[in-house]
Amino acid sequence: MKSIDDILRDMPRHTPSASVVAETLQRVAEDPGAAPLEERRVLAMVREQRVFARWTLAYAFGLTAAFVGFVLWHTGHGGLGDKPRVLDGSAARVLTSAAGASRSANTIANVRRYLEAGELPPVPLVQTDAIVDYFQYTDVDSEGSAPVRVGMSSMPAPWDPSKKLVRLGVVGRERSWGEHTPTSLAIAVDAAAVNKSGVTRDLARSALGALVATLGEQDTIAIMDVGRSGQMVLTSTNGGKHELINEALAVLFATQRERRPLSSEAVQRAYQVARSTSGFGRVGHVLLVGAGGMRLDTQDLSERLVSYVRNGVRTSMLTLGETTVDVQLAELVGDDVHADLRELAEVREQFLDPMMRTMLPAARNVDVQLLASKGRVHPLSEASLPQLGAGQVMTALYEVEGEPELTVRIGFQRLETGRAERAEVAVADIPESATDDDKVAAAAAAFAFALQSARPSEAYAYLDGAETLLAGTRLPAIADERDRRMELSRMVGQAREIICSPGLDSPSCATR
Amino acid sequence: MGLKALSRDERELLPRYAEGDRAAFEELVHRFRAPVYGYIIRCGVPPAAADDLFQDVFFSVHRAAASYRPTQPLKPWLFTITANAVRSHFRKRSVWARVFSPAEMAESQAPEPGLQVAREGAELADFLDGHMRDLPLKQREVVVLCCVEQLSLEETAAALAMPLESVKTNLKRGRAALQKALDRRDLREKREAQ
Repeated sequence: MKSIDDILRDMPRHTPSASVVAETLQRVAEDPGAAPLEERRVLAMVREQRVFARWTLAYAFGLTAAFVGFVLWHTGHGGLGDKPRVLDGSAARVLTSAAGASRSANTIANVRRYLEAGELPPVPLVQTDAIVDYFQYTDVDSEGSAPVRVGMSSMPAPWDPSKKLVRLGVVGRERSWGEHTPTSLAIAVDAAAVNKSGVTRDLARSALGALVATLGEQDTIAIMDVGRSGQMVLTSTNGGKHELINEALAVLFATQRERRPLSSEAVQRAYQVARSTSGFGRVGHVLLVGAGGMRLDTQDLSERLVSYVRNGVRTSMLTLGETTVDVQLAELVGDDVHADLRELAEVREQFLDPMMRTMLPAARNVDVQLLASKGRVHPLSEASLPQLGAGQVMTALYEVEGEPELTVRIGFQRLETGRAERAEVAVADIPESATDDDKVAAAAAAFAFALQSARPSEAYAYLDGAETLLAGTRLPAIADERDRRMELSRMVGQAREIICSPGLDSPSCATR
Repeated sequence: MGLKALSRDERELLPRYAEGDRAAFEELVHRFRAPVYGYIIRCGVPPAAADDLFQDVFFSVHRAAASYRPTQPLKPWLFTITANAVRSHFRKRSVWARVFSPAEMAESQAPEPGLQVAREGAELADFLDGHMRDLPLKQREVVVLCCVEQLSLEETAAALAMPLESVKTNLKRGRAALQKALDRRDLREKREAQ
């Protein structure tokens, strides 16, 4: 008798009909977005490590969420809810989540660029969780001594009032900036590339100037030009000496040099500096800054640098303007910050805030789930982060059918002890109302679904839903172009314009 | 051609396409049409919707071609996109489509039209196919990739972005559930024969 494995292995093949295959090939050939392949390649190269590994993962957000009611939770310190059951650390599952702190801002920046260029973003760049995460939610309580706290709110699902849309948020405990992890920062700048254009030089000067302003006396900083065999511009210096550091940056950005490839020796030296000045509670951190093309010249070097990363030296990257980054460099950065700046307005959101969150964490490996006793919870997005910054919020959305018994499960790793903790809290009552935040979260999800839709009619319906939800929220009294909700509204409009462009066949557009 | 050579050859299809070789994409579609379509069907997507989803998967592959690197194995990469599309299908179907396009939903749940399924061993296959669709989606995904498509545990974990331990657990549970269904069927047949 055949084993179950043999039977499954020999299962007959299902094949699509020839017409479906032919239609697929035709659809691809006629894709109006096929032309700028090179542009997508550039973006994809920069993002590939982030995008590919995370396509199928539903992840966390960095919101400041408003919650009508709270299921406050923390371990070992009591709380408003029932005291949770703290599970053994070994029960914590190994997270494969790898969302970078700046993932939301990066995702939105990419989506925004495509929409402003009159094009729909490639589907792999559209991550529902990151998009929902980007929009700020306003009332969250991050006070208290617990590393993380969970909030919950719900509203009737806009698409089916018999169901609930439940929003869960986890916020990292607020800490003062003075508590940030002392950092031994080595900034490795490809000065020739950065200085080649006034735009990239201004971006670099602004971003690094802002970063330097956050450093304190417990930090150290070294600056080197990696385009010139690792010339030290500033040897390891007390981070509180802002004037001296800014002078060094001024020198670095004042000189025009002949463009050379990144010096392997210099990049390695940056890691050596970060490593040698770290320890005793100070974390080594290399910040690579470049423009144009950033590549390591040897595989051997990449392997050596990975060993530094494994030994605790963090790597972040700041790329300016149109930049391509090779796979080895992207791997080095991994879950840390990779800010890709094109405009000065992006400096804080994409670079400074994520860098500061990295230096001021609240907990590591944080994830949250909503579970139902009868399996009537459908996640629209789930939440998990390798590191939750102080005051940072991540959010998950769920659709709940009926009145099942709900449980919130949360896991995290304490910073001080490294101990993994996991707890479950039964939800006695879900506070219910349709707050503006709930509507915005639902609208953001609808917007993401629209961008992921293959059919214009479907995409258009999602955009319709998003617009209806946004119309029911209060926009700021004074119109502010940088308000995130207004930005969402604007992007929904842009997507509609593109989807309904003459080149695309959309019955929904025609009937509108 | 050895397995290794074939695998390397597969990995070159997308880079060739990204360089403008359209024939490479056609070859890719033809080579993987059965595994992709089979995965979609065996994960429980109704055949009417499966045709659209099949197109969506390869459309996504086309748009993501530039992000593929030949250092990555192609099959898990492809199944990541496919699994994502299937999950997205179920998620959207359960929420938005109900409201916005009820007609489409009704259509997608229509009875199966003309699947080209080879009929060899069809009865047992149909039986297992039916039971596979009763498994929770996570178990279905893992069983199809590991047992039907013969991906390794590690490749399956990578394709589904699932921890290796979860893959093992889901595989064990899924296989056990199917085995149990088979055992029950055998028992029933024996009783009927008596």
